[in-house]
Amino acid sequence: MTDTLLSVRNLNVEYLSSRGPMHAVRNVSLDLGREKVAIVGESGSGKSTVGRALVRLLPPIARITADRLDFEGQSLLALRDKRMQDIRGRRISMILQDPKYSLNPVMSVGEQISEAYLAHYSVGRAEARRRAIEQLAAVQIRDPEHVYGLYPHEVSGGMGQRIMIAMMLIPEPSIIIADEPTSALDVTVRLQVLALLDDLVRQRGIGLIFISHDLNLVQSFCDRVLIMYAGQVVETLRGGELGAARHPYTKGLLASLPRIGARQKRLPVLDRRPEWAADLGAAS
Amino acid sequence: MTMIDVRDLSLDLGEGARRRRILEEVSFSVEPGQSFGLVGESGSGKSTVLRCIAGLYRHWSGRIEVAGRAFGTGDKLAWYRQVQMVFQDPYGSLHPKHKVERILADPLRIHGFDEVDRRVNRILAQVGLGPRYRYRYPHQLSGGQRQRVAIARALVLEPKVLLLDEPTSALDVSIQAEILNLFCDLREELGLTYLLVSHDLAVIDHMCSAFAVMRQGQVVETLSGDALEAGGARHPYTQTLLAASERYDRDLATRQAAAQI
Repeated sequence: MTDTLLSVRNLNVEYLSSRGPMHAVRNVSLDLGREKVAIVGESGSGKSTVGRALVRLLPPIARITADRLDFEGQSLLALRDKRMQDIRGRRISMILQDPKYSLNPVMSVGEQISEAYLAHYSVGRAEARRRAIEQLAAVQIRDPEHVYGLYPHEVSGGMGQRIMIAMMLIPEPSIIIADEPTSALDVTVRLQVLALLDDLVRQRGIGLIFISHDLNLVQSFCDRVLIMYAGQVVETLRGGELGAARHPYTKGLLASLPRIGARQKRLPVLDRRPEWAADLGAAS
Repeated sequence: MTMIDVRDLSLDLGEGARRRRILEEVSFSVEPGQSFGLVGESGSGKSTVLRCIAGLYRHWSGRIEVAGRAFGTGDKLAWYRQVQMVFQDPYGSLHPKHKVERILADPLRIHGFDEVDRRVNRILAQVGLGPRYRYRYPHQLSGGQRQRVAIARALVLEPKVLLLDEPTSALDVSIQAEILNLFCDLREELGLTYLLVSHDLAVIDHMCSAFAVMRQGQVVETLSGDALEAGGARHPYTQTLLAASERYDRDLATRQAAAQI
């Protein structure tokens, strides 16, 4: 990891509601270079909240604090909303789980990609269209001119997710936050989308934060894996080394996965311990 | 006696020029007390097979037999009593305005069962939910608890066959383990036969003694669990599916992309 794109120290997110504060994310720290880092956890672990907090995309009742939240050397928390708007989408972009819900159903997919470009660059429509078609080709869509005019209901899930990726890439961000980008896709299509993200990291030097519930997948795909439980990172592992997991939560999760050829009569069930949620404290 | 026997099941959907063949001569059989899997990707027709058996489509051709009785013969209600379905999404498959009690009691009343009260309590205990869940609404339950209610609703009619359509794919892995264990326990206790549809080969291999791989409405290969583990998958599509399910493999992705162009 040569240069750090994003540096986070002790990120906290609290939801302030009438029932008192809810501490959704506690003291999460991470440094992201030009690499693939995964955040893994079950529903409610806070993994998606971390992703959204990084681009300040949380509702007003959420209070985001951090000792440091620096992107390319500038503090994101100190930025005014207007400046944040320039970074969000243009420098740091987000890919969400289901393309069906992320795309506007009454606008052709190509126009949506052009729009993303026009939002950040002052160029003409014809230029935006040219760039959009280029970008569709870059995510390995055959016949991009034809696909440009298609509506979201006319494309498959895998193609929809490629279109989302094309839209996120067109302003040339340096970080992509992908929140369960392949969970709605078939395994063979998933493979293609992952290969595409992999190429972006290798060829364009993008930093990727990959949020997922799928331990098996991320360990073979990412360089580092952060495991979250009850709003905290309980363990960090290198990709491919999930076998070296020490935390009982990580081990329990791994054991509960069915495996081809394992021949277990019953699957081990996670025995959740209250001490796993105990406050681990802030990093120095 | 074979519990489920499906022979040459074919189905077309759509009208005129938009008519499409959805299933093409699908055949398989399942012995009593066994679990059989249908694995494939979206659009392969795996869930459609379940819908045909459950009577949600009726204009198919071929033959479907359960416990020696052909579909469309004899008492309709009796058919639905012996074949019950558990759907994928526990958030969408339970009536949001009905309490658990009504969700479980309604099918009993429709099918003319006696001792409705006692049966509701017993089935709740059987799926590990206890009587206090009787008066809750679905939104007051977690995803795993809802799926237990959906399983209870299917089992309350004392069926012989459960049709499971991706029953754990909307759940966290730790909850998936609990639900899969529950299915195994219930199969033994009640002598059930399962037909399980999943896109996840690991789940299929864990639950089933044999399975069929489907693609574009056809069965491309039928394999036993033993054969799968011994590397007996012959069809290239099965092999791709197997490799793609296990982990991210850059070379496989490259080869696959090259093959498509």
